[in-house]
Amino acid sequence: MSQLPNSQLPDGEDILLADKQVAAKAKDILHCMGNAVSAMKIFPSDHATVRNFVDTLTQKFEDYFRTYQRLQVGVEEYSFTCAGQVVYTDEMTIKSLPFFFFKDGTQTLIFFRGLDRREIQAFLELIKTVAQKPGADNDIVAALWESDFSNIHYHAPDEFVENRILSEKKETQADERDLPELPSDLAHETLEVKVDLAKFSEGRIELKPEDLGKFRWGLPDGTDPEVPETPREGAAPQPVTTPDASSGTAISPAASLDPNLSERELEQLETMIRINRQIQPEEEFLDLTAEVLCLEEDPSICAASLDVLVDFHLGQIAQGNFSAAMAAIRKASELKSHFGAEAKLKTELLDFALNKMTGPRTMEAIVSLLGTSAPVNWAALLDFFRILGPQTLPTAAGLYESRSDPDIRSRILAFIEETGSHNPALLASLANDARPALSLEIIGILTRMPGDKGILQLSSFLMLKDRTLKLEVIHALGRSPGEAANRILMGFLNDPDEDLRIQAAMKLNPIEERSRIVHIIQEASSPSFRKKSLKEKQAILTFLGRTRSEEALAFLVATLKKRTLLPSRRNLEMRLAAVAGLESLGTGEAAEALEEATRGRGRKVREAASGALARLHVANPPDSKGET
Amino acid sequence: MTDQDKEIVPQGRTTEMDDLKVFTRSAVQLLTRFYIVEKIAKIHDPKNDAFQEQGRLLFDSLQGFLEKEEEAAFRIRHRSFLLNGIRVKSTIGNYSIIKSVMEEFRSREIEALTFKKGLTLEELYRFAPMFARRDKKQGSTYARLQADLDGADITHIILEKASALKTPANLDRSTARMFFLSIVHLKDSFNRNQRNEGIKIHTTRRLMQSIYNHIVDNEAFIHGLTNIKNHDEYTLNHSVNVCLLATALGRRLGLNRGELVDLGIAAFFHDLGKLETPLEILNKPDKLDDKEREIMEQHPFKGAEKLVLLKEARRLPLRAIHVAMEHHIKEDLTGYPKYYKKEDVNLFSKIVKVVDFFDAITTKRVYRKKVYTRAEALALMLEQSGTEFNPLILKAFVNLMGAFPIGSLVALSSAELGIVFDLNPDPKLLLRPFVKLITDKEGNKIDGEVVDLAEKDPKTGRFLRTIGTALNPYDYGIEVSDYFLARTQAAEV
Repeated sequence: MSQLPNSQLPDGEDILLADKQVAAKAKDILHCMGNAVSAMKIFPSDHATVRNFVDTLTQKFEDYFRTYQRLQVGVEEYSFTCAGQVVYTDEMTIKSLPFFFFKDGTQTLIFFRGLDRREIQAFLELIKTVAQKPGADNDIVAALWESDFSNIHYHAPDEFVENRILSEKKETQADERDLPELPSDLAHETLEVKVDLAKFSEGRIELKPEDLGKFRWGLPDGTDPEVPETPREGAAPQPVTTPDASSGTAISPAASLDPNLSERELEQLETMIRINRQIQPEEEFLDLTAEVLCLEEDPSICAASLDVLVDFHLGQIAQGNFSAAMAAIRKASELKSHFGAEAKLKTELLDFALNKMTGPRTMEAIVSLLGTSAPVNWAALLDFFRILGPQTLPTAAGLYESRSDPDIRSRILAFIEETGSHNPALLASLANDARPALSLEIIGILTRMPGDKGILQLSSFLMLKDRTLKLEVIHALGRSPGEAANRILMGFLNDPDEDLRIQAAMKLNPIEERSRIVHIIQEASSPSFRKKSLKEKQAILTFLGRTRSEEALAFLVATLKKRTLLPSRRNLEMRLAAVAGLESLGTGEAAEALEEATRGRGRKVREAASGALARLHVANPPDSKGET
Repeated sequence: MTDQDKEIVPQGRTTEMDDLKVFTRSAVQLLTRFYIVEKIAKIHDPKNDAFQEQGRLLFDSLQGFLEKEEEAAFRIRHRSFLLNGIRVKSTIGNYSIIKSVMEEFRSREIEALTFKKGLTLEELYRFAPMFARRDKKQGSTYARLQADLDGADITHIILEKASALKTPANLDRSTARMFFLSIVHLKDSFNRNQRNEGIKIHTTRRLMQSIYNHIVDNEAFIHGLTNIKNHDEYTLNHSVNVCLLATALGRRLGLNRGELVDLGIAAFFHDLGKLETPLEILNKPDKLDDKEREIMEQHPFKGAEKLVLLKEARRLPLRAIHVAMEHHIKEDLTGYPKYYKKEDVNLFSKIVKVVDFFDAITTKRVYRKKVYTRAEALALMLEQSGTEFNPLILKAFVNLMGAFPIGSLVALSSAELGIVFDLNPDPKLLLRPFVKLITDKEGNKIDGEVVDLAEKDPKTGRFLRTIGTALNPYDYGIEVSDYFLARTQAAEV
């Protein structure tokens, strides 16, 4: 072992471990440690591979400490040494364990008997954590110092810090002009101050009369046994004086204080420390920044402080601390109210900052965070969204669709409903084929809205491709009695999906507007309509029947009676559909037409007409006042 | 290999105790009982009732502990005190006891003291007086104690000799270098800040760790160094002094390492705002007019603002901003600046306020009519306890500094003058510090020895020297700090 530079280190034979056995064991331990560190950088701490390495390393240390009190390891640039031998080498700077310690000034690592698995694990975790930190944060000595392990010590000499400080000073020395130079003795790089020792023995000191009067000199034997050593316990503090002090001056007023803090005082102090540890740093930072902004009158400095506030805000979002980000917005708003009109410029600056804090950069930061695997505090995030308002709805919509946890979904949905309630169009715009689950919920939300404002937005679903969604919209519209719903349902009559068209037709409410009835009749009279399936024809003609209009009756009767020269499936279907339409029309005239059809051509039409009539009779018995 | 290293001692692990708090409480209880027994054994005969009673209490506590553990091994390891391998954390309540017991171990060259299962009360009664006996003039007290134990057939109490620790080749010298290095670094930080460059906060953090280490290893000398008053570079020198004293006080209050580093950094930069204050105001000999006072009183918030605006703000402890902002706010919330909303002052600000005030009024300044001695400063501060200062922190500070703080110039009843170099570790000997004699009885200046004022004349049983009064070194042209700095040369010689 080379000579230890640290004067504080244990000295003597016990550290001169010129023993091959020790070196061999150290080599084994350090290689295992190197492997454990490598594994920890790849796998999580609870991974079986890591656990195995930690177990093995613990075992090796236990074996070592059965024989020895401590393991002292020298740290070189790329190697560890023990007992005068190199026991571990890794020259790949980026991952070299020796270099990791060496770069921050470590010269020695000492592991003591008493080291257990918990401490080994903590030590390895520390290495892993520090190694992952960027730049100057990557300081293992600072981290080791703070961790203060009971059984792992290190030695990093002050010279390391000294050299760092002096070289940093050199960097700035060339430009030093703003502050007066340090006196030469202080600035001297060796940091040594020479005192003229001779002056300690030169001359005399004559006491001033006022000091001489404070007490009498030269008591016998230079002794004064009467001076109490400490104040009496429990006694009220009183100045302590020498018995023959002519002036009665206290020899030290501080001596009158009970030197010990009482139990109660100790508790109070501990409470103060405990409270200090519970301070929420973000909240405090905001409070302090706000106080600074209140005190500062220079607008340019205020602007700089507000930039810090905005950066703080974005930084908190990046860390997923939405509560703090919200607090920043609240604090800025609070300050704005505080300044009011009296400090117009500051108010404007705050507005500017608030816009930044609620603007696109904020949304980008949120989206960026949500794209990671970082855990999310949903309650805080949604509260934050509430502050940011409707602009967050698309993000919330995407989140809803991507999460499977019902509780989280329910929270997000509540937020979407609450925020979108004032802007149904925006809400409806969130629905699309890529968000089937949310779109279904949005249909419900829009349908539940009072009046037509939600229903009207369901028209946006006409453009979707998802059949289930459209079907849900059609059902929802069918449950809505208003004209608005009907208009949208009419739109579905042109849907490429026949079943949807049928469903829409079936859900249509009877209309009274003649021109629209005529329009539908014209549609139903067209050759293209004849090409539709029987079901669809029935659905449309049934709807026409439900209008109970004269035009519909005439059209249905005419259709029922329509003949072709040759047997035609399409004509048969039109006639069957007309039967359905007349049944739904249900008037006396309709019944008459059906009655006639039971005697007319075509077995299927006759059977259908009979069935329709029977159903009409059941629904409206002949003795009732019904039209049939 | 030494025998010690080769010895095979299967140690029972203590970490099996689930509740660390319970363990710590047991450890402190054992230490306290040990401390009391050792103190009583120093002054009383083993047949004394008090000794017997306290010995029994210690024995009972040990028995209780040994029911769960194989042994109770007190061990000093570098800056820590351990029981069965677990560090006994220092708090303000147990600080003096731990410190005192560690001192006792060190003075006897003992690294570990182990009570083994099977210990009897009689063994303990025989051991305590042996341990308490101390003859400075004997060579190795460890060797004597070990021989006593062997002779008294004490088999369940095991001593381990401390590894021959090199006394620091020159611990004082290294501590002084750290002090001046702090000034260099602070000046560099100020310069960088004025040029809108980032300050090297990582370096500051490492420096604070180093300062903490020196406080633990060489606290009295650190206190001595705070007597250095560089009038040309007042703010730098003052800031470093405040940093050292605040860290020492924080340690005494029981703050943990991380907190102490943060406190040190906060104290270090507490006057950063003074960079914005014109020198003609800072150094104006006359009373400041209203406008000047207003500018002067802006320095706390200007300092806080500078810290908020630092590029490295996220690496800076938040409490540094608190301290810069609040170190002139009084305990009754008067002072400056006036908060618009906040209604509390941070603990660190309260700590720094105390040491800031103390260092300021004990420093000669052109505008300061009276420079207080260290003892006078404490007295003045005590008068303002509760209004200007938090009473508990102030009390802890007075305890830290002692009735006659290190660096006090004192006149002794022997007609000699001296400078307080160290406090007596026994809190009961508050008024009997260690004093370096600087004049003889006739008033001739001497480079005298350091005397223990607790020392008694063996013939009469009376104290050899007692402090008569504290004097103001400025009145006698005495540069107190020189006497401390001289120690860095003495060792070199």
